[in-house]
Amino acid sequence: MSSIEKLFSGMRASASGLSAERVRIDVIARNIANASVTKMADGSGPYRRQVVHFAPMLAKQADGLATQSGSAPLSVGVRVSGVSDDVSSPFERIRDPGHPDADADGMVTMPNVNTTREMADMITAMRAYEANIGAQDTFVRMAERALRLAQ
Amino acid sequence: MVDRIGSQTSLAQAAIEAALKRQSAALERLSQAASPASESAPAVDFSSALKSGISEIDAQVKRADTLALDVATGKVTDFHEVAAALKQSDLSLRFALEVRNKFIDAYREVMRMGV
Amino acid sequence: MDLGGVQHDLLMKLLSASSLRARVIANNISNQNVPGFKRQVVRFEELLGAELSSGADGTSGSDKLLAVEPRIDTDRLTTAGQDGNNVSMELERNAMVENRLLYDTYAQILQTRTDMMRLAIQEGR
Repeated sequence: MSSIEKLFSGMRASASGLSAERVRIDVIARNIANASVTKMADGSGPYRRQVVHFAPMLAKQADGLATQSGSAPLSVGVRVSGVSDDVSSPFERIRDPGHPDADADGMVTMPNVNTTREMADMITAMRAYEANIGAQDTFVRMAERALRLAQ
Repeated sequence: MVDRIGSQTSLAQAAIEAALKRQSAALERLSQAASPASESAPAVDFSSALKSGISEIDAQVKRADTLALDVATGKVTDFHEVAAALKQSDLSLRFALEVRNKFIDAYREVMRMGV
Repeated sequence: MDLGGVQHDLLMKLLSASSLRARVIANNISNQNVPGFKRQVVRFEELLGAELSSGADGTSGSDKLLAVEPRIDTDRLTTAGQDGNNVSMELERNAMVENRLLYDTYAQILQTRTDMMRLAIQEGR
């Protein structure tokens, strides 16, 4: 880490958490908004649920802590390693002959988005977001308390 | 305006250093004059005690001097480090000033007692 | 004892740079929805560090240090949204809080030095 970053390393971990959770919240919102999209703009099949992948963010350059033999690389926060399609859960087929995208059997292939589950994920992400805000505030209070020691 | 304040404090600094030098020189002369009569007395060298006191003041303040640059360039990694360094400098300064004042008082007392 | 001069001026510059940074961050936040707007950052501490390490023996003359000025740069590296705007509230909030702590730190150092100066001038009496 360069120069003044070490002083704020605790807080930057929280900041990375906030950014990552924000991406997750945005993706969940997109899933919910597209829960009924049976045909995409390019004509392909129904909307595919998106999932966010998190990974530890490692210190860019090895400092004293990270290079001690036997110790793991220093993690300084979290990052979004990717946003991908959820290929594990299947599309749901429902019976709706009047639907514009119904096939010959009157069946419609719906996106693999379960709105209830998305809402639960949204609440989890919000709680994580707030927890990161709390951690950031704690860092600030500790720093202010430390500076007051000089008075 | 900031420049003028800077140069004013530089002038004040120069004046204080000059005053301290004069004080130190005067006490040196006095202690040299008094020393023949006090050969048998406990050897308290006011002059060198005063000098070391002044250089101690100087050293402690110098520690606080580079603190801001150390923070800016990342040599300081925790906020309590800053507070501790400031507090140490301040306390050391107060202690050194107090020691110096006590020496001066004691010296004046001794001189008043009759040479 | 350097009661005034270089150290004082350096502290004042650090405070000024921090103050400028606060304004730039506020400007970023106010432009968070403007299409194509790219966030700006204020560099000063790293410029000081660069000047310091470029000195012959790792040190740098105080004149050279005082010649370093804060610089406003445009951040084009941070990824932008579809509207070309790359201001993130999380990033700006973090930057704002960090900057405030930095300002408090410099202010505390200045306060203590000033108090020590006054004490030395009064000769501790």
